[in-house]
Amino acid sequence: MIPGQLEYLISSLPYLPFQQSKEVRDKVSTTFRKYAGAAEADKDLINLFESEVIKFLSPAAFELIKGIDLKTIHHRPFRENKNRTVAAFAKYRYHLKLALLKQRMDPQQFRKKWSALSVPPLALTEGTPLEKEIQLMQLQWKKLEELATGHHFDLDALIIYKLKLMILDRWWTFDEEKGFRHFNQVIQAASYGG
Amino acid sequence: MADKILMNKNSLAILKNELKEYQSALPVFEMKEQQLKKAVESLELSIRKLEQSIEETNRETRPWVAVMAEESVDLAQLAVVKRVVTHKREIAGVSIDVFSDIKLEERQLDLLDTPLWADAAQEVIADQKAKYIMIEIERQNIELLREELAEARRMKNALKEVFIPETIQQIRKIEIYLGDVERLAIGCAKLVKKKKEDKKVSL
Repeated sequence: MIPGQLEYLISSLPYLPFQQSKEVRDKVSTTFRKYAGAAEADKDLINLFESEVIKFLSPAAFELIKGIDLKTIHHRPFRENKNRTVAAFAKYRYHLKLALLKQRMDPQQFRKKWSALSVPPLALTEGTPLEKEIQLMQLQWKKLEELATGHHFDLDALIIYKLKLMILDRWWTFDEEKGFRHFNQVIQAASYGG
Repeated sequence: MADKILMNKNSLAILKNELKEYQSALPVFEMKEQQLKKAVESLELSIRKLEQSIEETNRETRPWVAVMAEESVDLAQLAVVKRVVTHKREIAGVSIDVFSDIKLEERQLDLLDTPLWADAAQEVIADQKAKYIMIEIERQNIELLREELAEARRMKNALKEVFIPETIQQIRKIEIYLGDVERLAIGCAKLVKKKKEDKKVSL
């Protein structure tokens, strides 16, 4: 990795605000598509990001970045990762998931399975499932902001950027029309054999 | 009814008996028609209520339904109907299915890996599926009741418009015929009697 390349890469990435607006989404997506060129323009946002960062990272650093996935980051290998940012966020997400599990599971079953763990309660304000999902994403966003302190142009900053991008990418998939179409397809498929 | 009627007292008695049976059967079919009509109306109302309830739940789900666009959760697998529990009920001789419950496939969600919204989605999908199944059951019941209703109507109309009036007409014909025969016999007897008396006077 040539010195200064990471600084160049991070400076060239589009700014990510915690917003679910079409404007922000289009801006981020257009920037990445521009970087990727016409041949790769149909890739999803995370793939476009990876296509861009691979040009600037060592194979080992790229492997680390590529392996990071919001869906699996709570797993043990990430919690025990050498990279402090990865490990810290993985642990945070793991505890967040456990706190949610405590809310969702039957208390007796939870105690039976996770008795050894002390799980701090999760204070989510009342709201619709969508509002709660946004609250959860916001909590993770805040944690990432906290972890970003002191990291501006290093690999950790890039890791945090990818995780933020993944949070936004997930949020941006929430679509009322599409969701309602899925919902209707599923409920109307119910039938009684007679 | 199409057979040729014998104009005698025996036929008259048989027809009077048939008329009695027709007249006693008519209110039974009229009542059955009323019962079935009421039952069909009640099921139609129940369907309308279920449709309203589906709409209401859809309206309540709308504000957060956007999460269901997330591809990582297979909505179809959240609440899979394993069995629909029903029991039988009889309405005016028709056996119909009445919804009791739906049994879902026991698939435990991996709560650590599925998003929080999946719990609420599972609940609302199961609820809406149950309503759609109830509507389907009620529609099948309405079909059965309508078939029976049409049959009851056909029988009522046949009795009212054909069997009873035709039998009354035939009874009247036989009574007139038998009355004529009786009058003729009396006339003949009177004539014979008069002739006998005339003969006695002339002697």
